[in-house]
Amino acid sequence: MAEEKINLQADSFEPLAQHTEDELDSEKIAAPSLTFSQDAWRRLKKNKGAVISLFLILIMVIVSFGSTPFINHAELVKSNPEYANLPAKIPGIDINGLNGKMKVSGVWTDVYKQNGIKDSVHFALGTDYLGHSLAQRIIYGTKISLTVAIVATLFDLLIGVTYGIVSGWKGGRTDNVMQRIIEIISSIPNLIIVVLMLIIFKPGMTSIILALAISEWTTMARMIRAETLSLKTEEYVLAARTLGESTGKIAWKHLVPNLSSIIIIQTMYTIPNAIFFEAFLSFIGIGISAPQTSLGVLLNDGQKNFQFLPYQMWYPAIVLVILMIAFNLLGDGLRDAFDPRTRR
Amino acid sequence: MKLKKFAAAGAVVAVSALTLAACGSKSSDSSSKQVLNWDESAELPTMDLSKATDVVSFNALNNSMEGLYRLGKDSKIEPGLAKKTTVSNDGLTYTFDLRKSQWSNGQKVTAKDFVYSWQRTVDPKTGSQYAYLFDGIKNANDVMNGKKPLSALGVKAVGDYKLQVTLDKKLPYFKLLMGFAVFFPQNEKAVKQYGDKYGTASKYMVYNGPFKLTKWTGSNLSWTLAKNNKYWDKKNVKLDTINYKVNKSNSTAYNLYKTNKLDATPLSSEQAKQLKNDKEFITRRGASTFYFQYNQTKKAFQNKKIRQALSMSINREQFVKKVLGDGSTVAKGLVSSDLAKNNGKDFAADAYVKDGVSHNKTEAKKLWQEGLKEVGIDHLDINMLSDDSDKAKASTDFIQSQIESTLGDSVRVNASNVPFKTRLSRSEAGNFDMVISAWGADFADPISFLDLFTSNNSQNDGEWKNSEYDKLIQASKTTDAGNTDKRWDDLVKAEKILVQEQGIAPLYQQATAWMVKSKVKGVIYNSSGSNYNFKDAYIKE
Amino acid sequence: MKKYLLKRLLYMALTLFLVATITFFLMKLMPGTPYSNQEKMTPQQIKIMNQQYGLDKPIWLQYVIYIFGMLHGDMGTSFQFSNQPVSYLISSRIGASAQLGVQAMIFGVVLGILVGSIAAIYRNTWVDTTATVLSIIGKSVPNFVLAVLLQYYIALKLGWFPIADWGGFEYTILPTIALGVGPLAETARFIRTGMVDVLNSDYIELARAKGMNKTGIIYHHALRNSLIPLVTLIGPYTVALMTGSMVIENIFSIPGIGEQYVKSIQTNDYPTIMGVTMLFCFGLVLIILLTDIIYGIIDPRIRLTGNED
Repeated sequence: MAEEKINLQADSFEPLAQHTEDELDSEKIAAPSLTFSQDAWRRLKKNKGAVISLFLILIMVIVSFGSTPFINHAELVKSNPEYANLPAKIPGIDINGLNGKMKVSGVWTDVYKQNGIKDSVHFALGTDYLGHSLAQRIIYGTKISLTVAIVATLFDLLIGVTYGIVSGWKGGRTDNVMQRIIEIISSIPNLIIVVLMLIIFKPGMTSIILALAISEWTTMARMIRAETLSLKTEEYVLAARTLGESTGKIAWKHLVPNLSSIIIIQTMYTIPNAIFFEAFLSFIGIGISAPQTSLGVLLNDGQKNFQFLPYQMWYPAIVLVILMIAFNLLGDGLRDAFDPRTRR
Repeated sequence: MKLKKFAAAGAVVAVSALTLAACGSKSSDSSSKQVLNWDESAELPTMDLSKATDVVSFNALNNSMEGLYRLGKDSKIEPGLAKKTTVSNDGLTYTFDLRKSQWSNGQKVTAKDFVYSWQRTVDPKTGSQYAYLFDGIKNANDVMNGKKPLSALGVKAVGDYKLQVTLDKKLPYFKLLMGFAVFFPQNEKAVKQYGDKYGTASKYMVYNGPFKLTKWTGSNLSWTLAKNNKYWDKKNVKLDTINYKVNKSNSTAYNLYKTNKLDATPLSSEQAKQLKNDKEFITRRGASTFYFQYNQTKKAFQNKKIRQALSMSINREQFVKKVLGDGSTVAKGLVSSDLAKNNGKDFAADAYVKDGVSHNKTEAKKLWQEGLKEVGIDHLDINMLSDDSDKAKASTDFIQSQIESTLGDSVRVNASNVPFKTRLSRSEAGNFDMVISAWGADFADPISFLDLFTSNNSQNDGEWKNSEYDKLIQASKTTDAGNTDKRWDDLVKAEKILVQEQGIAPLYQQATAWMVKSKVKGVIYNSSGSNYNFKDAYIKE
Repeated sequence: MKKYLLKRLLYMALTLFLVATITFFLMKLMPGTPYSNQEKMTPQQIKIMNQQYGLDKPIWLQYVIYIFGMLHGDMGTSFQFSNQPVSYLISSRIGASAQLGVQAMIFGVVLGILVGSIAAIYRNTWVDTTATVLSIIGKSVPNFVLAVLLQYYIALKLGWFPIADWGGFEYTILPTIALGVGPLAETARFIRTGMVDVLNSDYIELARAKGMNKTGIIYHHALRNSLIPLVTLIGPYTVALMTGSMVIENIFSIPGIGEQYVKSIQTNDYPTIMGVTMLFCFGLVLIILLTDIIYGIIDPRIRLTGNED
């Protein structure tokens, strides 16, 4: 290619204004400076699914925990067997399934009428076998399930992340010993731990949370360790080490942000895991005990009567699924927000 | 005997019985083979009749083995291997003439097989948990305690076909016992040959009953009873096969029933409530009662008014109808209804104390306040112990609700629903305030229930003590033992004391709801003992 | 490598020994006796029974006997099934559980990889959204609820598969799905996340810039790299499948280990509880060892050496 000759005139150039405001401005970064979390929040807000999920979770938390003064012990204990097993009836709505009618041997039957129940009585989501309002049970059950899940997850995070980082970072003998401990703990099926706990402690929430705390953190620790092992050999970590950065600072500045995606994904898995484990316990008969209830207990009770009273399984199942989807989408949103690598 | 499961009232020998109402509608499928598909709720643990302890085993044994008698409809004594029975005048010696019959391995069934079987069961080395039923047969207790040799047991073979049994005391229910599997013969050769494996799989066993057990590996979830061609009365056995299938989930079992994979299935309470108008729906009432025991080593429960208040706050009628809904009935007292009769009167009706088992809100409140004052407390926390089955949970839920909503803030009930065996050991250790216990009759006599609450009985977990009660029970066994009416009065009085004093609070007499296809006929169900007898059962399409 | 393996096997034995010890002593803390009718037995009978079960000996001796028995594959005799050795109970039931577990794992992981990859390739389109939502729902429904739904709609209403029982392959399909949906959903989400990470990375940009075709990129780079962390999930999957089997086997009336385990807990059948616990532990320890080895092979950054220092 032939070189083109360009004729430049002196007036093609313009001297920069010296010591003027303009010059300083051009050196400035245009956008306001944002901290890590501000930046993440900004990105999260762009994700519609995550924002909706966040609101859903907030609503569920507010409703379920806000119900505490209304759904107290006396309310939970009260039973009305004459109202047992009624389907949903919402005044003003005439859709089969929501108007007090239920399919009985293939025919839509007004169960309220059949049982001679007064017109003024209606239950938005129907009732259970003791005549408890299912809506009330579900709200209360959500509270218990959330409490179990959140407390257990906090344990999971705290123990799992610390353990994983220490194990992966230290390596060598420490790692080995720590891995053997994990192996032993995770080689004992959760169930055994729970059954024993139920004998040592009273069956109920505390034992379930403790059992989850003891048995569930190992997955997190394992994954964090595996990731730490490979992060350890990354150049920037090596650089930081060579520069004499303290271990704690490296862990906090380099490892945790890089592990955040795994931590968040895993946390978002731990919440449903905790709820599931609790549901599983109620299936084999050692879950939350009456008069308390949980989504797991409700699902398990509903599952048994599914052939005849399908609504008793569907409603708690729907609540559980919405809760789970919300947690998962929020998890995705948070992951994308915290970890710019996957920003789209 | 303690009830293993709410659904399975495995008691031993009693008289009350229900049979399948044979309603004659025709079903569509047709096959020339007579096949019955039966649902079972638990695995078959053993076929060794000396070691069996549960309903499933006893049912399998009852249909694959044959003893001196076979219990027919309403626990009627029907001929088994005993052709002729002679009883001595003092009622202490029974002589049985046996018919000629064969084991499934071709050997003859002889009187020696009975002697061997009985000795094996009472031998402490065998560890039979039902050996106590031999109590009353001469020297049985001494043999069980290792004080006398096996040969001292009051049973001997006179030749091959004559069996002689000697008793220590009169046993009015002796013939009923002979129809129970624990008293069936065992083939010595088979026991010796299979050794440790005897009775652990269908092939390690020989049979002499209407059916032979097959396809049982010792741990699987299905087995089959096939017609035994060596059975002495095989011409009267109509079914070719009975296929058992274990389904632990009631809804699975019901789904299988709906698709004709099962001909009979037990129902959960909720299923029963939904299906109660179905023509294939039946309920089977057991000779078993559920009741509360109060831990009377604790001060609050020593107060009669507190116990009465708790009992009165429960609406039992609503409980059996609306919550259980499976045909269970309100218990009249500890002794179940239709268990024993004297001069045409049912024991439960005779000993009925209405106040002890009925609902009275205002009275309950009043007694509660008075009781609290007497004890000097203003609040009581109650730990209520029960099993962890669905029915037990429904019971604790409901009772908790009834007590708390009747008696108000001054009571708080905490329910502990634990596995059956854990419940037993906690009860024994006195680790409860109130416990829901159950008892099924060992034999058709009120004493089988009433013995439980004498001061030193090991079943009296609440340690209720009443000297008059003890005296009456003692009298019924000694001074009044020979006088039927007097003995009856003693027992009636004793039960009245028990319920009036609220030593226990009877709750309900249990029944189990079933769906049984209308083509299934002739199944004999006895409320206690080996529940099912399929000898006469058949399928009518 | 050899040294590493030897060391790991040694640790494995140590783990199992510790678990056996812990379980043994915890079981001794549990209340109850093996006799369902104890109060009706004579003291002589109980004494002899205790001798037969070895319960009359001091605890430490029982412990020694138990550990030595374990080494010979003797796990004692079941309390619940009279005269039935625990090893027999386990061996006669392990087949069904193992088959179900393996099928569910394959079903879940293979389909999960497929769904996850598709979601990642078509990321931010409706395909991705659908796959994500479906896999979240899959993860959100407890397997006993799913099992009940499958049994009711697919087996009872449509009649495509048997309702319950254990026989030919057709009996395994619904339980496999009910058990495998959890791992499927988890795998799909995991793979998607991993692949999106990889697809956004610089070396993929480079490969693309160099003109490598899409399939090649996905296969050689994206999939391979996102499969690596998946290996670490196999251990937890195994645990989930073991737990799930207790539920699924119960609902579908399958003669498996999980179902046995629940029953033995309810009946205080200590020898069986301990036996099955040991089996679960053994299975898990083995899987963990295998995954570690595989991890080392596919991720060269982790070296498998005997001397870690």
